Amino acid sequence: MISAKNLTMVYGTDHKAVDDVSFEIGKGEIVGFAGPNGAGKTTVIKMLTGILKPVSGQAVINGYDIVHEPLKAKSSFAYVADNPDVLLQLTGLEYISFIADVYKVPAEERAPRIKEFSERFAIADALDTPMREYSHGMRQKLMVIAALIHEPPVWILDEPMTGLDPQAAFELKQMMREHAAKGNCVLFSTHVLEVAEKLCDHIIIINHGRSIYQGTVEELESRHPGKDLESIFLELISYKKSEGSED
Amino acid sequence: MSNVKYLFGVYNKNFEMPLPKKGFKATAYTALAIIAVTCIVIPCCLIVGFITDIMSTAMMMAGSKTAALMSEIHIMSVFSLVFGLFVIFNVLFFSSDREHLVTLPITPTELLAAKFRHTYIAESIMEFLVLLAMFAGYFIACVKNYESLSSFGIISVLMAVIATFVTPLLPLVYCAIISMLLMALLRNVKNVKIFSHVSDFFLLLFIGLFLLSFRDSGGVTVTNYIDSLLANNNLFFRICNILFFTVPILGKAMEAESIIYAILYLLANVIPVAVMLLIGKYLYQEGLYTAASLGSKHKQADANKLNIKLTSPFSTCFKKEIKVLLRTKAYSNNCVYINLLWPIGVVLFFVLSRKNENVLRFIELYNNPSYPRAALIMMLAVIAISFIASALNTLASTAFSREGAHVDLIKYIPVSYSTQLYAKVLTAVVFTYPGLLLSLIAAQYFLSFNALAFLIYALTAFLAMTICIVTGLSMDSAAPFTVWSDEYSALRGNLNSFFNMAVSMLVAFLLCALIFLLFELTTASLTTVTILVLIILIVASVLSVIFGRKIIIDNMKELY
Repeated sequence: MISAKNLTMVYGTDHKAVDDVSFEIGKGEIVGFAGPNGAGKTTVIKMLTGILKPVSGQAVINGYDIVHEPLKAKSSFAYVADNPDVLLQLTGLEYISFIADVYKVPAEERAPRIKEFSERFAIADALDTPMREYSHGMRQKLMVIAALIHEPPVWILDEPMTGLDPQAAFELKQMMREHAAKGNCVLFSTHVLEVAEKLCDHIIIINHGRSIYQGTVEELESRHPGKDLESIFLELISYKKSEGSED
Repeated sequence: MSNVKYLFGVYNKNFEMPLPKKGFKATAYTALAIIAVTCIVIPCCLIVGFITDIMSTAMMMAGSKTAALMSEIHIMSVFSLVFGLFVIFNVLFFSSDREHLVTLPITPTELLAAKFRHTYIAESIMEFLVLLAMFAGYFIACVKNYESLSSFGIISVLMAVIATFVTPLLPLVYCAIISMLLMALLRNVKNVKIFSHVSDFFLLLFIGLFLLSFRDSGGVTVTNYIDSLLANNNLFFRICNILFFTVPILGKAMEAESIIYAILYLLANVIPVAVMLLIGKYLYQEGLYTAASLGSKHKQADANKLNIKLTSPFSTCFKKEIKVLLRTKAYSNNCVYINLLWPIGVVLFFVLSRKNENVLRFIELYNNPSYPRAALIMMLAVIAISFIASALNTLASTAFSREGAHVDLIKYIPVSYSTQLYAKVLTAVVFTYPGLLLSLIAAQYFLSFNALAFLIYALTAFLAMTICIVTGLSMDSAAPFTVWSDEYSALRGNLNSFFNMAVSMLVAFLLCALIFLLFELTTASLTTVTILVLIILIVASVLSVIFGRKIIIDNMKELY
């Protein structure tokens, strides 16, 4: 459902942010995308969603090339950006309605979905309030609801848990599982390895713009016996702990 | 095209600056809105209408019915083109909503159409009113000169109504096309600075053309401008006729009451829009990709080699303000470099008017102690310019809005509110006052006033600036506009700037009127009036600083 083939991205004239990254995500899969800050996670996601055009390589969503068939590709995914601060003068409901209009969600389907999602994320009582008055977490919840309103087969979520309260984070994880169980797929970036460990079928670890691991968490742990996921991750990204730091 | 409708609706809802809804602040903002309309909108429209009437009358007497009106529309189109370039460029490629909207199933043409339509309306509201005033002035001149209402027909009236709303279209279409073409060129260079140079180039080009059109005519005056139009040797007008080709068609439609030219005018406006959308179809998406991929290799700093000096909280806050202003193109252009407009304007005025009889007479009278009225006019000019210059740069009236979403910083850093406030005040002063002083130095060169007069003018300018800065800071701290999509929006959509300008104009007008009446209606000498002016300004400044400081700090405590 998501196919990244040799994706490479250069910012400006000389800053290679992503270098030859490839992966495939099939139906029913939840894939976690991990890596330190500045590793290139968001850049890969931006190439998958059509914000950036790869210098080389190809991104295909649900069978559609994002560069050559952008409208079909974009109709196939839900995207939650890492920054929920957009069109903040609108009320939550106005923003959701706008996204639903763009995706041409029929009116009779729209209302029950808004009701269901807003109740699951406990934001129903704030939908008629301008988003500028929302907390970061509330904006993030709204972005998730708006992204999912058209029920696309592919979810691409950039740091979706950031700012969410435990209840909302639980609901989102639950929804991700339900979505994958229906034969769809989810790609999400995260810094929280425990989330990846519990939720993902596969993880992709990226560092300095290059993919350094792709596989299941179990495979990764079996390659590094006796170590927890955090230690393995730090080893993979060649992190040297400072002297005297807690083990 | 329903996506265009949805996007347009969303932009409209997102554009408005939230204002206080109840309490004293709400009442104050309503009063400010009334002041703004009465002190800026109505006077501007009346002046434009009056100038159009005078120029049109002169041109009609010389046998050209619409030339004056057309030349004014050309000047307005040039302003739209030059000042619209950066706005359109930022709206199309660098607004913060870009990365959200491009992931939606919307074609680049739809996104372009919606952004353009919204910007066109948002940017042109004042222009619509000024155009309306121009056409009113033109029709008044028609009635006066031809002594009949039948001097213009239904086609003229219809065209005036249409042109009021359509005239700003072509310059902004040019802005969009230039933006997309430049962005396509930037694809390989990836250097946005080129764009700012292009914008500066256009500004200088049109100023040069305008000034060239007065060559050998004895100075920049309305009379000389009309003479050059009559002689049909006005370079500026001739080039604008080609560039803004819709304007001469409008002129012919109105002059000849021609329905064919009227239809041609409509077509001439539709075709550029179609061309823009066609170019957008092929270039806009690529431009968006380029905008998203700008950046440079991260630079490493060796902490051991850093020349770190401890500075006071005040100095740190001040440096932060300065760096933000100078490193943000929107702020450096509109808040910092705009202050050079005044000294350059003074020099240009005196150089270009060196053969103008009225100006030469004024200089002569100014240096004649028997005619103190000339010195009084100079004093009034200093007061008016100081108020307007201090408000126009918006340094004070956007001081808190510029903090944007991170305005909370003011609350949680361990620096007192007064220290942060003084840093903002000093920032406004260091960019405003040198411009005023340079203007005075330039004026001194041409008018040869003595050191005491210079000091009095300098003190007057400082006091007027102080009042204006405190007023601006008070307004912006009361209701800062912190939710904006890009830095240009922080300035454009900020009603505090508009209101500060209105209040400054009102105060300047009242003060100048009071001084003038005092001088004319009493036996008070120029010295007495000058002392009174200084006392009034000193008292007003001290009071504004004392009360303003308290109001601003109270407002800062309530910021969120």
